[in-house]
Amino acid sequence: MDCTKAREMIQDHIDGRLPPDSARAVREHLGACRACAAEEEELRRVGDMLRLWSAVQVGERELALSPLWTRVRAGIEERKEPGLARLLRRWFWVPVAAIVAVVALLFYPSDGARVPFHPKSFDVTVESLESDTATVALVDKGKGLPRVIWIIENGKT
Amino acid sequence: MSEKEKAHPPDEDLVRGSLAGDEGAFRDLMERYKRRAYGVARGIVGDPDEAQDVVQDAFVKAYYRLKDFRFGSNFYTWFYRLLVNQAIDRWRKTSRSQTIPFDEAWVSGDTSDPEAMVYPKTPEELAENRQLSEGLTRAIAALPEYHRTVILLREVEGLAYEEIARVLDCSVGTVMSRLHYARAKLKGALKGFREG
Amino acid sequence: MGRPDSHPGRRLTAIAFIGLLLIAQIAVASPDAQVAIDVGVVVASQDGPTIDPELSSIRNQLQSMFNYSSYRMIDRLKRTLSVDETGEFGLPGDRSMRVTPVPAKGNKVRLAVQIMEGERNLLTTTLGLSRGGMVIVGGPSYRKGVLILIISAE
Repeated sequence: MDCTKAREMIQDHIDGRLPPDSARAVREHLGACRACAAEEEELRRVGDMLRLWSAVQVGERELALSPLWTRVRAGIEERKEPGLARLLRRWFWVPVAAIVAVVALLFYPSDGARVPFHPKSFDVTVESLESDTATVALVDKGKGLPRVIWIIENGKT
Repeated sequence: MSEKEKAHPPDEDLVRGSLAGDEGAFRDLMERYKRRAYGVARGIVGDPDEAQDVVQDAFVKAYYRLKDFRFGSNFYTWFYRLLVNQAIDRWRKTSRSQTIPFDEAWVSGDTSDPEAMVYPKTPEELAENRQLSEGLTRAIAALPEYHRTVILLREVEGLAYEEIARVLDCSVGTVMSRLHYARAKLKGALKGFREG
Repeated sequence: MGRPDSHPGRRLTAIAFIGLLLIAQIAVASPDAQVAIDVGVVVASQDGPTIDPELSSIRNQLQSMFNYSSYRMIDRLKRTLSVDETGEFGLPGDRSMRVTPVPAKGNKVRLAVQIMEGERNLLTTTLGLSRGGMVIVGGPSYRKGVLILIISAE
């Protein structure tokens, strides 16, 4: 296993996501290659530091249950109402809630919304195009197709 | 029921109790998760007071949505999903135009100082190293919000990829991609410090 | 569980109504002030013939433009940005993309885009699109293939 291959797999190795033979191959490579072993150590250290950091943050806050419970309870109370007012609200809220939800969706996109792509136009003006470390090209693939900006990293085919 | 079960009922029992109107059961759930909830919220929103508000709001929401909880699934995955959505919403509302360019968030280490080169092994040691702990806070805040969330859920909360995918309602591939990005970024930010 | 406030219903109804007016106001008054950016992060390779179901709506276009047999979507990022607000999109392989909407006229959107790999600048470009338009940026290698970013702006 060469370093390039090993580097690609180090994070999967740290997370225990590699099948047994790959894991073994990576372990062997790390045992023999100091540079890759250092890389693995640095990546593991990220996790170690995050755990310590979180412990410090949580430690700095006194999260007493009583005051938290009082506040949560108050939040629950706020949502409760006497009968008639609740009925009126329900009747009024449904169209309002629907409108608010639609507007919210327009302004606050949600993660994980697996919506297909529906491009309305491929008409794109490229006002400027440059790169410090690669060759970039603007490619027109033809009518009815999107324009493509292609990055050719120097030193790679 | 064994003594142990009586002292530490599974989450599902507490959920059932809460649904039946037992205040104490919901309080127990809160006691069980309040620290971890705060840790997650703190990591996402950045500000301790905002984080506390987020935890409160998440518990209120959980109280109302308990009836939608599907028995047989993990309570904490269900709760974390509520919590994470609450935290990300809050973060977006309060820091929308504050994208910190990552280069400014690098943890700068004074490498001539031998003290600064040793990595802490305990929270107390980290707390004593102001430069490192503040640098970490900045570096974490500089990650895009979903990448930040993924690495916190994985490294601090120890959730598996599949669980993180359920919490964020995305694919396992997306979880991996964001996790790897975040780890690489934070590794770079820690570059200033070297093992003594 | 305690005594609730006596007229929360009426107060909340009034607030909701005013809230709705405000939201409507924002929606009408500044349609151009915000841009919703949608980025699909795809890994294209020769590693088997799979096309991610999420790409089915543009599958024909991808196959006419490129010679890859496999297109896998590994991330989908969406952000709404105001003019001059910079959004950062994390990309695989220690890369990131920064997008800043810049002032534009009418129904057009102009975006200043930068793609970085670590410290290195891979691309700096300014693009003009109409709302609902799409552009593709690709080329950086990733694992066994290349990254192709499907960028739309609304």
